[in-house]
Amino acid sequence: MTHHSTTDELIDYLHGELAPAEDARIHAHLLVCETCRAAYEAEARLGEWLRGSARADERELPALLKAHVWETVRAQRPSLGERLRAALRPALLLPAGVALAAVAFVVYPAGHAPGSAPTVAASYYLDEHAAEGQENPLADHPITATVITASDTSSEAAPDGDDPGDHVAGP
Amino acid sequence: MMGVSREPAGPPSEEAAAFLERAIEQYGKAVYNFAFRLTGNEADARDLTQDAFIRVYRAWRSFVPGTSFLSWVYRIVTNLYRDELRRKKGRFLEELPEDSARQDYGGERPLAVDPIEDYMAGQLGGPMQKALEHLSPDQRQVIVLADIEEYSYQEIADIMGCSIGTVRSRLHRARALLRRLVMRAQARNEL
Repeated sequence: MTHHSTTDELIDYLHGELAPAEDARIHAHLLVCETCRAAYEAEARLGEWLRGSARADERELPALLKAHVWETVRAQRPSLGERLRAALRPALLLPAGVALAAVAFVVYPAGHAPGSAPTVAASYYLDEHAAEGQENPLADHPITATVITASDTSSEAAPDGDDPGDHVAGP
Repeated sequence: MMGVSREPAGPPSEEAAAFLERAIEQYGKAVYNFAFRLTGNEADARDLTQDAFIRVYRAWRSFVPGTSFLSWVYRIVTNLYRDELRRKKGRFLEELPEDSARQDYGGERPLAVDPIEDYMAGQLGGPMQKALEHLSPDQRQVIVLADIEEYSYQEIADIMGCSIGTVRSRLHRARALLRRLVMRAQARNEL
């Protein structure tokens, strides 16, 4: 036979708050111990009395309470977050989006699209970068080896039949 | 009105207003009755309930969908009630020692025949409220939550912001006190 249950144990048992093993032990004990069972039933009756009394004395929500709550709520200033959220409502987002798109179109016109980048003549590129490469010793790929000389230009001009000597100042 | 300050006027947000409307419709009566059990009178219960729903409106975004709204609003009520008691009395009413000493019937375990059963059967409503008034606010909250609202110890701990051990200890003591009160009242035919 197990020992008698304490009142605290019976209260916890009544509320289903014991660990399973302890719950089972007390359950088994109550089946065989009249004293503890009577104590348990007294605790159970106390709970039933409280619940029954509460039901019998249940109050309706006072008629004006809700109106008073709304009155107070309407008198309160919304929080900063609520005001911000209100300012960013979808109704305002659409026109704002359209305006932003229009501004973006003006600032970044279609001519700046990657596919339509302006072209540079090859001769211009060679002339300018050859000169820069000579003046910039820190350039990753100095173009000094490709300095354009008079002979280069003469070879380019050869098909025209121009005389290279035309480019040399005469004595 | 308890504990809620007023600020300059402004319209309530639509979402918060809808949340508040639904909360009052569905849970207003339960919250009011809970407040009435705690305060013991209609005027304080009305103020407490109003303040709780105003707090609900202001803090509605902190409610976690899928959790118990009633537990959430009961926690608000409990906190407001505690704040109000502190404000009125300068400090919260007597805190119970957090001991976990068990109560034993010892040599006096006369419950095989319950002397209060007949009394309880014929005394509903008012006497219970009177009995609750003899408990400390903490004990009263635990009794209401555990025995009337039938919350688990864990749920009560969450609502009251204390440990399960504290809930257990307060409930044991509150029930012991209630037993004595009811038995005394039965003996004198009053409560």
